[in-house]
Amino acid sequence: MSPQNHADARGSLDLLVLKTLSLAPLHGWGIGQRLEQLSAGALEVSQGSLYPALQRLEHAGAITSEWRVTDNNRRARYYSVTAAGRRALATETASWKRFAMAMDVVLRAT
Amino acid sequence: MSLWLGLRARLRSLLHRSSTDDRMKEEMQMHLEFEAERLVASGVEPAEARRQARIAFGVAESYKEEMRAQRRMPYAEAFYRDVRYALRALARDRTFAMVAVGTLALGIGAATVIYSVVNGIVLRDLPVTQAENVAVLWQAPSLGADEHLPVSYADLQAYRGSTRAFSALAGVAFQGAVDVVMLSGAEALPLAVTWVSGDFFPLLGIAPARGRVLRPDDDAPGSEPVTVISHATWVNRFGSDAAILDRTLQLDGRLHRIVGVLPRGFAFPQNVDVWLPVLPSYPATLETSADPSQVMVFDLVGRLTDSVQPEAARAEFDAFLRARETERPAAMRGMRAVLTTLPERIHGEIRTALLAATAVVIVLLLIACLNVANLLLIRGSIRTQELAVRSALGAGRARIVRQLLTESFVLATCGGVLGVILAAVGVRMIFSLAPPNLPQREMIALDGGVLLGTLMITMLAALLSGLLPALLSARGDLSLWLRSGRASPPGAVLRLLRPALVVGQVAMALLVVICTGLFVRSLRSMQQLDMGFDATQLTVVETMLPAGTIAERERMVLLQEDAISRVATLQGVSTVTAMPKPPFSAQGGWIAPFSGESQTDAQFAANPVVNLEVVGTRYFETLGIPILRGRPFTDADREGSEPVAIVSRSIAHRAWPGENPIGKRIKLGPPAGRGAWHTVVGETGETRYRELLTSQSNYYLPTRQFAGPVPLSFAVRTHREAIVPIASIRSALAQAHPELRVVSSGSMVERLAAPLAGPRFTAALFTTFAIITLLLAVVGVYGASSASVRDRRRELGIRMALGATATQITASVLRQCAQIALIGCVLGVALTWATSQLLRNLIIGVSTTDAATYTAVTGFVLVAAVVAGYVPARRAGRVDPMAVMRGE
Repeated sequence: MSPQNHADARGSLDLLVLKTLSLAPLHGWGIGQRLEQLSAGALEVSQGSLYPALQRLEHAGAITSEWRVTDNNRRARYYSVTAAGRRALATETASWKRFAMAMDVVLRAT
Repeated sequence: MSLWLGLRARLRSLLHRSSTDDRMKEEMQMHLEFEAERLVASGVEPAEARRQARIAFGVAESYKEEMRAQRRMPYAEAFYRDVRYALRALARDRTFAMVAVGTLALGIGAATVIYSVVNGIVLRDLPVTQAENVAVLWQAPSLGADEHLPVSYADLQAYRGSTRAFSALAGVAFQGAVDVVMLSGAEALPLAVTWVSGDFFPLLGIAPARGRVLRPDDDAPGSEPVTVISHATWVNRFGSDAAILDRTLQLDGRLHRIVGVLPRGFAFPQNVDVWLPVLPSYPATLETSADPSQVMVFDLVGRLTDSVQPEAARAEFDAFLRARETERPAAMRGMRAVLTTLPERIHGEIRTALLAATAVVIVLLLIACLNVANLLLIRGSIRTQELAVRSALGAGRARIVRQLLTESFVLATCGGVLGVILAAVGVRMIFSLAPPNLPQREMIALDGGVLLGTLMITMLAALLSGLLPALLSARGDLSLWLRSGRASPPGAVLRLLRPALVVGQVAMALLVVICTGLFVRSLRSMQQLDMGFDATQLTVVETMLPAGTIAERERMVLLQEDAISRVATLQGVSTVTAMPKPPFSAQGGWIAPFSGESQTDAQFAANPVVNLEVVGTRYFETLGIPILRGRPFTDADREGSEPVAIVSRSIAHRAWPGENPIGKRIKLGPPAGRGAWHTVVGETGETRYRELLTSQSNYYLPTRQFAGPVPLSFAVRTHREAIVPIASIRSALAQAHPELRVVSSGSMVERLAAPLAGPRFTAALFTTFAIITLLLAVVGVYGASSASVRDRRRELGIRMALGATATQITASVLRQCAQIALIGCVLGVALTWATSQLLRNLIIGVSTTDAATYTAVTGFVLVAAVVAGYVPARRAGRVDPMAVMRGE
């Protein structure tokens, strides 16, 4: 895998995490569950790879995190999207859609 | 934005690395637990559930490593490690760290204090629009003394009409006369007053802090008397009263409404508290000055027209003065124009002193850096082992240099922090010691700009002290130690550098200490000046009566005489007299030209302008001024009797060289002037009564034969050993008239201290510097000498094994130390000799190349250096030859 592809893969994971968090604040494990649920099992990421992605997003200011207590009284780190994160999500989604459409066009043109 | 956030996150994780790591671990642990619980809930065995959870998670360690990599800042992390390493290393060697930090703190602290003064006074812009284009003009005799003679208001108006060199021209009374101002309904306050033409403030472009400045329409005959006050006066005398613009000042019998407060940091002429417009407010004090426009008390202030050079403007004013000569009295002919720029006029005098102080702190800082450099070099040779190990483990030379430099930065930063604390104390001391006439003293502060300067000084100190030792200590041959187990002998550079550093330190210490010696001797010589009167056992009380309280002069005289007789009856009082102004009340006195009987107009023109004192009968007895010939004034010298005067010897000598002046006649003003002739009844010595550095010619008149204001300051001589409380003098004066208010009071000795405040301040400042410099130099000599003994340990051991005694070894080391110190002294004397010329304006009564000072200081520094070298030299004598031979 070339570095370029790697970056793309990372970029799409970041986008998916951001999208998931835009619906509701979640902790790491919850994000994985929700992703699987939203994609109806089609997307399965290695659960641990979420954490580097979360840290990247947090450093970029797209999300923030805090310790909270879960429904069954456990301590967990919850992530939520910031205003900057929502703006980034909008632009990234648009550009992803353009990319997907372009892929679609190219792949159909046979 | 995100770059900053990323950086912030990285910085945070750098500082809280362990906590970030813990958080990451805890989070992943939770994740595995949640996943395992989910699996258990769906019916999987707990152990199996945990295994599956770990599989689904992936390789946790690799994700952790990825996250750590994201957080990393390689350079900052290395720097942080270096700092921690440096702190540990310094903590191990506390003595070294304390000496180095203390040394740097002294250097940086002293530099910060002086920088804050320079920054406040010289570097800060005056609150004047384009101050460098504003010139101040006056006149001086073409030949002879550098006298400062003002021009008249009429001259100003005439020159304003003809000038092309100046786009605007204003007048300001030369030397704000110190006068007494009465606050409405409060205590009388001594405030320094000056008079300015109406366009003075608009010309300078001054923006008032409150209210308005004086305007041209304020300066018209008959307009409402108004005044503006300085910011410092507003703060210090009126407690920053918010309602200041509603208040009035009473001056010379009239109420003046305060219309404005000038901006902070503006005081021109220097030390003036109150500015008044000329035409409505100039007092007609002497009968000769009924028309204020003819009084010659004004300096001109002009704004130069664009592209006109100051010299061209001066030439134009020179031509103007020449053209006006025909209308002038003979004494005021043959004048030349003098021009200086406003910043030069305000800062000119203080600049030399500040320049000297700046030079000294630079020297001090250099010595401190040299000292620390020396200490670091010594440390470098001790640490050869440690550095060799690091080098063997793969640290490159650059890496080692960087690490050693970090250590210097840590030292300098600690020194800087301590230095700022010292400087805060120092600035406070400057405030309490600084003479009150220091221009713009309220602008001196340890503010942001100064702290920024300190930061730069600190970084510079780190580089100066650290770079060379770092480069030398990390020199290539570290592996020698690993092979031989011995420190490599110091290289040629180091062998030459160390004594050179000591020579430099001793030379600079000599420079500073000699200058200090000169300042102290100069102060001493000023303190020992013969005042011409006896200041001991004298108390001075300055009073005033609210204007209009007593109108007739005769009743004022009676009040004065009543006050004198009441004070004279107090227990312990010997004699009492009255005088116009106490000594050294700045410019409160009167001056006048005189002409002796039989003098021609030309001789009159050559006569000096003399100090006029209108005094009570027992004046000479009370002040202890010797009557050389004739008699003092008596009660018989009054209205209706023959007009008499007493003159000092220089006046008598000028008017009638070689003759007895008693019985001769003399008058104020030109021979054919309106003044009355006075018969000289006595001749006295000169006094230093108005100015300390020049003794004045005095012309004395008895109060009752003078038409002007009645003097209301009193001098009280007490019997030896007797103490007369000022409170009892005050109450005696209050009995004479309940409205008689005390403006100032105190002993004459205290008053004499006032003009010495400046020299005393300089001497104190330099003494502090000298002590610090000497201390640093002694530490430097000690350090270098110790290092040299350590380096020569093997050689000394061998010499002792070959039969040298301990005394011989000690003597040889000491001799070497003395040689180095001697070279430093010779260099220092030469350096001081060459540069002390710059101080000639500040040193009075002593030559700047005073042999006694030079010799004494050189001897002292030499002895101090040898004493500093004695401890290491004795250690050299105790080297154990057996230990050296065994290779320990």
